[in-house]
Amino acid sequence: MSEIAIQIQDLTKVYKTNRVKAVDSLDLEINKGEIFGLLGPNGAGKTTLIRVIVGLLKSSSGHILFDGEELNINSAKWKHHIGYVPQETAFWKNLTVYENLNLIGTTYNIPNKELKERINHLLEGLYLVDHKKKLASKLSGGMQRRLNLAMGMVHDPQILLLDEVFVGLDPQTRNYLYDYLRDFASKENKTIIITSHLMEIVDALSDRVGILDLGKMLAVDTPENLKNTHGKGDILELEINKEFNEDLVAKVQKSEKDLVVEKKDQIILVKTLNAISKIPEILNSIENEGFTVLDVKITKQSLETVFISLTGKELRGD
Amino acid sequence: MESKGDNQNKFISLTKKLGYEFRTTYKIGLKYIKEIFRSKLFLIIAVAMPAILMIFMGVAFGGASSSVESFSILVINEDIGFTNVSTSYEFGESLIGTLENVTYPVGEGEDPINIFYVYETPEYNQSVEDYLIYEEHGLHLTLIISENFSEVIFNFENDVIITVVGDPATGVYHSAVSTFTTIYNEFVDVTRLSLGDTTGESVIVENYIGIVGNTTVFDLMVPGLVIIGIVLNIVFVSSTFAEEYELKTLEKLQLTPTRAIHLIGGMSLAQLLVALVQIVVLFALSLAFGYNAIGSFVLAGFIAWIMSLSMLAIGMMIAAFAKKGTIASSIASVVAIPLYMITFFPVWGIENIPMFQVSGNTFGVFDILPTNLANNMITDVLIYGQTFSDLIFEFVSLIIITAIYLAIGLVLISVFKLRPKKG
Ligand SMILES: Nc1ncnc2c1ncn2[C@@H]1O[C@H](COP(=O)(O)OP(=O)(O)OP(=O)(O)O)[C@@H](O)[C@H]1O
Ligand SMILES: [Mg+2]
Repeated sequence: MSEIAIQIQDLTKVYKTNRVKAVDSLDLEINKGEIFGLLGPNGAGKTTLIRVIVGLLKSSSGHILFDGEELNINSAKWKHHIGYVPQETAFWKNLTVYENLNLIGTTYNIPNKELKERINHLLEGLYLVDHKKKLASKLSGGMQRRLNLAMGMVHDPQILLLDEVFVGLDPQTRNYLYDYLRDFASKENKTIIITSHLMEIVDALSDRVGILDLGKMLAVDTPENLKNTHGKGDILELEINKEFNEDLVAKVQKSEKDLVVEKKDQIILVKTLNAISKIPEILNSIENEGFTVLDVKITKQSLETVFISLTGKELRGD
Repeated sequence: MESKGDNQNKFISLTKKLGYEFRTTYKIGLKYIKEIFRSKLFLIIAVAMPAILMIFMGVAFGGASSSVESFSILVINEDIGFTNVSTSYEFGESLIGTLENVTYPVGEGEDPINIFYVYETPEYNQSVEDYLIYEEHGLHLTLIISENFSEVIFNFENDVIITVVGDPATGVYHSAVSTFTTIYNEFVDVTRLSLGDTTGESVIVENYIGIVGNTTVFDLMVPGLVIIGIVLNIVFVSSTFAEEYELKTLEKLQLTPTRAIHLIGGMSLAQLLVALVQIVVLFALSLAFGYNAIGSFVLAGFIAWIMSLSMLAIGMMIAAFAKKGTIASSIASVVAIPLYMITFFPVWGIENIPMFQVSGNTFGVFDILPTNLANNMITDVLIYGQTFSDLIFEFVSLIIITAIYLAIGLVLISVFKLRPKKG
């Protein structure tokens, strides 16, 4: 068993103003050195959970254990340990990029020389070097997001909590961040908790994924296991040349084992595990009935399908 | 048992800790300074507005003090003379004669210019009329020669005392006194020497008669105008800090080991710099409009500077409750009104209500407001020429009051802005 970085026990957060239970009796263990992806539709409670963990929000009840002890959010040890990059950007508009990072670094008591090196390293990675003397208010939206990101990482934390940090980044920066986070977790045995609506990234990046809705954790497992247990397999979309009848649906259904077939106008949806190997049989059964297949689209089984089947919601919608 | 090494280590870690506290406070201060000086709005609020007010008042009520070549003095000669054996001495008269005859050194062919124009009157009772005489003639100084003046000079053993009366608010008074002192000392020395004596001292007692003569309304307003300028700092302190909360940059600091003391310390540094700029600009402007000050501007500025820290504290208190920068600045503008109104109370004749006394010094209700304390102190320094040692009680009061304000600000900010949100 790996060591536990943070242990959350029966954690509840109710917002007093509107009585919304944003986190509901949640239990969760985050291991040291793992990347933990937190998925959930809008309003699921992801941001709330993260903000309670870092100590910006007071929980209503429950415990958070850090190193086996009740977390003291005011301890210097904890503050040096965690890095938080919020969903909304925040920085000092009238300071330059460099000054923003320098200020944060100073408060962590990082020696000047080391701080300078770290800042420059981050600026290079995040393609901000050329802008380091610019006032933060003069940065483009994406650059602002990069600065926001750097500000949460400048002190080289042990545990990094990232809330929607991939949003608004160009592919270059996205790749850098992806690699950086991978290295950060694997080489330096650091822990990352990340929320994102970008399923492919969470899927590829995370060691484990937790699916949250209405403040409750619906499932926690590796992306593979989640897909195998909760996924309904790949989805095959077949567009045909004319209105089909129930017969056809029945035929297709019989052509292979374990198929779920639905129709939608001129499209037949086939849900199955390992769809690619079954395509020839399915196409055969359709064409035998005198239909022509105009288009074939395949959506590989993904976290998205797991997500939808668990929450019943599209991720991007509300 | 603690070893020497332990103590040494403790000392090193303490120094490191202090180093960290100062560095963090300094860096946060530097941040505020940069933010404040990079924002144009700040310059308008903190410096331009009070400066414009000062110029406006200067034009309306000010007047340059004229430089005076000759001094008009009123001499009240009560000297009854002294008779020894058969010789009688009238040293009072001799002094008047001396004063009437001293002239400025002049070049060849030029008419000599008298230093003193002397008006005489035999009696002086501190009545209204005397003040009127004083004002009517544009007198710079009144001398009172005592009854036993001749006797004391003759008898050697005592100091020779003379009383001068005048309005210290006028710059001229001071140059008149110092010129008179030189001449008077020489007169006593020469007179005693002619009688065969070299001991004894001449003593001059100065008697202030309050504000008459050259003092303008503007002179009375200057301390208040400087204070208004500094009171306006509440606005930018509170809005800068509330904005930090509004724009979530405070959250960023909350996650770091930064504490309220660093924030207030840093903001103090920024605020002190701003106040320094204001104090220099405003006093310089007041002089340009003929402010007749006699006391130390450095001491007066120092008082205003200490007072500015309590404005910082009030700004922090407001920011503790405001969720937005704009709300904070609106509240601050309202809070500022009574603070600077009170500085005009002495001018309007509204008296302070005593609260308690400490060794003869009274602390009044209005003194709870640092602006009131500071206003009176600056007036005492600049108009009445009082020095640090005259104002020890006031300084102690001002420092204690300021410390209390800062402590309240610190607690409110910690409780309402830096604790995890209850949501
Ligand atoms: N400050 C607040 N006061 C009251 N209710 C809040 C507050 N912040 C969030 N909520 C509510 O708490 C619930 C969880 O919100 P939260 O922001 O944690 O969701 P999220 O999973 O981060 O959503 P998103 O994907 O949109 O970022 C929502 O119902 C939201 O309306
Ligand atoms: Mg969120």
